[in-house]
Amino acid sequence: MQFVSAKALLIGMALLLAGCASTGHSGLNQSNVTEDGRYRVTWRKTTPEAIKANEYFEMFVEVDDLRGNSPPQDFRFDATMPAHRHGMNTVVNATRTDDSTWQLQDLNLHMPGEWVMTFDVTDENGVLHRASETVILE
Amino acid sequence: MRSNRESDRSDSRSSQTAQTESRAHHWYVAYPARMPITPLLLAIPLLLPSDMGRWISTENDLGGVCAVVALPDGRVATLDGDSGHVRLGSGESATTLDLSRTLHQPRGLSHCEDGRIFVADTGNHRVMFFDGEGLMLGGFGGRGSEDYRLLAPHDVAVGSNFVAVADTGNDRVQLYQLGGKYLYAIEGSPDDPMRRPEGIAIDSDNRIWVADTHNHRVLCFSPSGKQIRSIGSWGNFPGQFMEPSGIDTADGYIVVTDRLNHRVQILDGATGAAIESWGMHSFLPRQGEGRVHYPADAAILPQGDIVVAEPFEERTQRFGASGKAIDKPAQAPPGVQSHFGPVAATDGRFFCTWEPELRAIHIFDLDRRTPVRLSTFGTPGTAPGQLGDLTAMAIDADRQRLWAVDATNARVHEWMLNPPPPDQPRFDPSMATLNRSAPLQQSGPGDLVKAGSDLVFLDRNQARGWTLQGDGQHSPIAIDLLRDPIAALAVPGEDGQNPRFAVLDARERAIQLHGVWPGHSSEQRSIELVALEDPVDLAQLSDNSIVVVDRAAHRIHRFAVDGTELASWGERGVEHGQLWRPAAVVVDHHDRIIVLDHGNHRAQMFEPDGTWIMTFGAGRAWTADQESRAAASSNKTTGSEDK
Amino acid sequence: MNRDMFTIAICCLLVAPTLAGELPAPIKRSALASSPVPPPPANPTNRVADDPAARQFGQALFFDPNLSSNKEVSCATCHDPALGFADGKPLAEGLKTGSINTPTVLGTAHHRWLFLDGRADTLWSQALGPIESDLEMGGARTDVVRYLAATPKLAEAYAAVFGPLPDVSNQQRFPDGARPGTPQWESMAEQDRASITQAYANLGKAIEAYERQLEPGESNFDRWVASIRSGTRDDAIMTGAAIRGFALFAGDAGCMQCHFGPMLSDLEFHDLGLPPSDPAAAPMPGRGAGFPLLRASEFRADGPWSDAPKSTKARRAASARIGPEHWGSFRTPSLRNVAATAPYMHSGQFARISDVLRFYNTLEGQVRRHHHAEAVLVPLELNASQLLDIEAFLDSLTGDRPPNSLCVPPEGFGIPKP
Repeated sequence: MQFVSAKALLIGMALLLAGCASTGHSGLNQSNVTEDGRYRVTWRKTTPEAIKANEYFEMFVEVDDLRGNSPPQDFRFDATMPAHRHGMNTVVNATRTDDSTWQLQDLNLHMPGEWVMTFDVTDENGVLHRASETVILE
Repeated sequence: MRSNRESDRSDSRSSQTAQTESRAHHWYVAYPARMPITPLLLAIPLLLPSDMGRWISTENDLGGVCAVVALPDGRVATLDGDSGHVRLGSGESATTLDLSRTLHQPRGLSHCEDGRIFVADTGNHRVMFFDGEGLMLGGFGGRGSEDYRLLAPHDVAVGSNFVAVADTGNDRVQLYQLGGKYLYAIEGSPDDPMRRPEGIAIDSDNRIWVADTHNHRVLCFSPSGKQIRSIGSWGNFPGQFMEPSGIDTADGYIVVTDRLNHRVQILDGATGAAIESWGMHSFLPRQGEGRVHYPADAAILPQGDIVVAEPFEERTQRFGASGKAIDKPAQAPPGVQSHFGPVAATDGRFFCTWEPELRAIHIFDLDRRTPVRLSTFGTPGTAPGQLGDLTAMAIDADRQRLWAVDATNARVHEWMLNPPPPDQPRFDPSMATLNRSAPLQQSGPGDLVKAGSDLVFLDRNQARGWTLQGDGQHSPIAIDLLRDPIAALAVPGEDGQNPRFAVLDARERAIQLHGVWPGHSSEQRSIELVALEDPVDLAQLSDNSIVVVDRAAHRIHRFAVDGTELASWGERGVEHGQLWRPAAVVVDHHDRIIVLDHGNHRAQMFEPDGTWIMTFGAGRAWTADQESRAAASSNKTTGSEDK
Repeated sequence: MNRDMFTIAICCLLVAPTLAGELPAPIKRSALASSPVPPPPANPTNRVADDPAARQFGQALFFDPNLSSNKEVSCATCHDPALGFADGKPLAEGLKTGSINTPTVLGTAHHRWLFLDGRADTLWSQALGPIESDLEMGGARTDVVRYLAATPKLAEAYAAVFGPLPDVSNQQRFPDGARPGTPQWESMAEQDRASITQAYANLGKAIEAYERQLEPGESNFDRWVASIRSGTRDDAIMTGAAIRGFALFAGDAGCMQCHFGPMLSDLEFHDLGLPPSDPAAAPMPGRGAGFPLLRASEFRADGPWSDAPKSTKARRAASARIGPEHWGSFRTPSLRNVAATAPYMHSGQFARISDVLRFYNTLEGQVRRHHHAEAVLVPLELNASQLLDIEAFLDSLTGDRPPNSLCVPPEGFGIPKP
């Protein structure tokens, strides 16, 4: 029953939890800039308020173009576990609510461990820009 | 890869008409009114046995045997894509047609009931047909994306009244009349198009079966182009595929070579159900007798035997009811931990390569005693950030950037690297973070060249080069790339600005030199490689000499810029220093030559004079020191962990 | 337990480190997160899921062999209350022998996906599958409805919950043996098919209402965790071995990568590369086959027979994803009552828990279909006493049996005890 990285994850979790009393990952109103600096992605957890392993949740995401005012052509969310080389068991339903805002439903990080959430913004030229956030779930 | 067995005598008349009509459309159709006809045997009722995967025989030393077709007289025809030879029959009675003057890196073979042999002349972007003696009769296609043109077609199948071509580079199937007149294209559904289909067959109902290679599925179309069936997805379970390559059909059965699963699968053409599969990667290098390694094509013979072509092993294997049962262990063989290649890049302390079966990139730290793997990352797919088939990579150690050309998804991906300190190498699956991913104009192979701060993409199929801008706007480069630019390198010019390029042209077998190269005269603009069989990659040492990989000859050559050969080494084999279809070469910042020994699933490191330094894989390394110590003590090869 | 094992166990008791004093914080958190078992999650797709009358009607159906084609097989045949609501056999045996080990019904209402390959997304739709499976009960929905109509007590019970049964007296319109895929079914009018299917779906909903009461029961582990939660940790509730076993389970052994939460299951699917019980048989696709069946099911939570097709619950099937890693995968079983539900794994490959643990410890016989697939599992390489500790912990998960009244057919329906 031991996964390859179980020990490493446990150590990582222990370190994380040393400074964090919560067992979930509170993702309220967090933001990050795409790796190339083009877009700011702000995400807001809605239901429930903290991301917990194997619990479905929803988010709102807002995308700001930091170098202009072109609305993104597309947006896509995903989450993967790099150590296990797989992602979620769900297909995220992303609904565009206005030019720069998306509602994401059917998210579920179904295993404990390190997840990387990726926020992919496609610009007017079809170039994809990625912001990412690491989440460690107990 | 084969025609129907049913004869359609009326078609020979209609094809004459078609031939006449086609002249207006195709520039070198020359289908004679009378031509040699191979005697036809009566079609034999075919009953494939349930134990069709029993091994009967192996025929070795067939070069890059990439296509196989069953002739109606019971013989087998094979195509050596390296040499451009078509072999009729097997064993000592075989005859060879040397078509090398016409063909360039052909990949597909078929035959017509009138005796013609059709070849997918991949490197020349066309289909050619020959008589049974090898006389060129005509052809059609030509590089392009217009209706009747072709881009790197990998296969051709001849039905009773039409020819179907896997137009791989254009992600479609093209249909022509038997004489070459263009009919129409099949592209699949707009929201789920084909991706680089490499195999095609036509069944007795004129349905067209397509190995939709980079969608990892098999498609079936009606003759009118309506999709009837889609079978499979990426995976290794029965009925799933990882790059299905060749396909054949007879009596309701579909045989598919499942390239990256190293197996052959039989499907029920009526239901799409997976009936049987066999193969499994070898335990030992070059192991055959039922083990299958990167199969490229298969053909069902009239009596039901199946012949499988394995260019990687330069052999065909024959399977059928009369053969020996194959050991099908449930357990995968130990030791085969990783496949390297055929792509590599290096800069500074980093060396990266590509694991096609996992769709993952390995990054190594070269500055340790033996290379240490720092990261393996990537997942298969077509979604953003997922990987298809990578055909080139580039890495920048200072800027901590890695780029890769994803031919399946027609994109260039860019990652940021967050490497551990040089003195504390450790494995980190999250070391690379995708930064952005820009679309390319066309899916297909191409090289990626770091030219100073620019990144240049050479589109091999289109023979064009583009400087890639971060915003997705690509500007064409001002270099004539000749006919088949398979690889290139760039180094900063003397002024530190205008880089000089060396472009390896596989068609011309020459390295074209662009810009100011020290050590060569202004008249001499190229290094001739005519003595090489199959040059596929090049790299440069600090003394400006250029190393070239000759894949089919399993050999490495090093040339001065003036064309003088400075060193040459390598031979086919599995020992240290020996090579098996080497696919790529890079030179690291210590001037060590690293060769991707693709067929041996490893990399080897050499001194500039060809002296072997070490062999390494994803988890182990063997050095000259170890080997000499081991030889002194026990005369046995040992391995050591890489950390 | 043989003599060697006994000796090892005694040695463990004497020398193994105890977890006296404060539990390590991560272990304590894991314990608190694993107990108690909450009530089953609400299922809005079944409006009678918690209806008392539906519960009793469903209980009658659960034990009634007349729903099967030979009148001998009921749900309780394979889900025997005396055998932990499983059957104690490697492979299920209804009308024929199947290819899957029977999972327990205890706690099944907590599962996200039903059947080990996840072909159903609600308990009510799961209950309908075996009735019409030729391997299990071999029935037909038209026959089942006709049987109910002809059995006054059952017809009354149905009517009390769902209203009157459809009139199936016209043999022409409602031929015997009619179920989807049969010529009889094809011969029926669309409206008649719909009325039969509605009634049939209702039977599943009643069975779910009964099964939702079959909870895992409070175990020693739950009582121990309750003592921790109350601040008066009482290790006497568990054995020392079980506590050490839990620490391993939640710690170095990494079992909680998949077995976590109150049900000790992630409720999802994994391929462990288990050795097949029949090496000559074709590999079982598991979720790879269950997923398209789920997609095609008329009884999906967002389908026409659901009572809340737009609910969050109903979204699950629509958003489920199938990937290459799911082929050959089966649902992670709950470990609640695991000691009472031998044999183990999806094909009953292992007779005892110790066999399961030995597999995880060595991965001996593991099948890797792909020649260089990445190792998802690595051998635990625990020593014998550690394995015994984990086994002791798993023993501590055996809960109190459901009340006897839920383990027999309800009074008044004339259904014999199995």
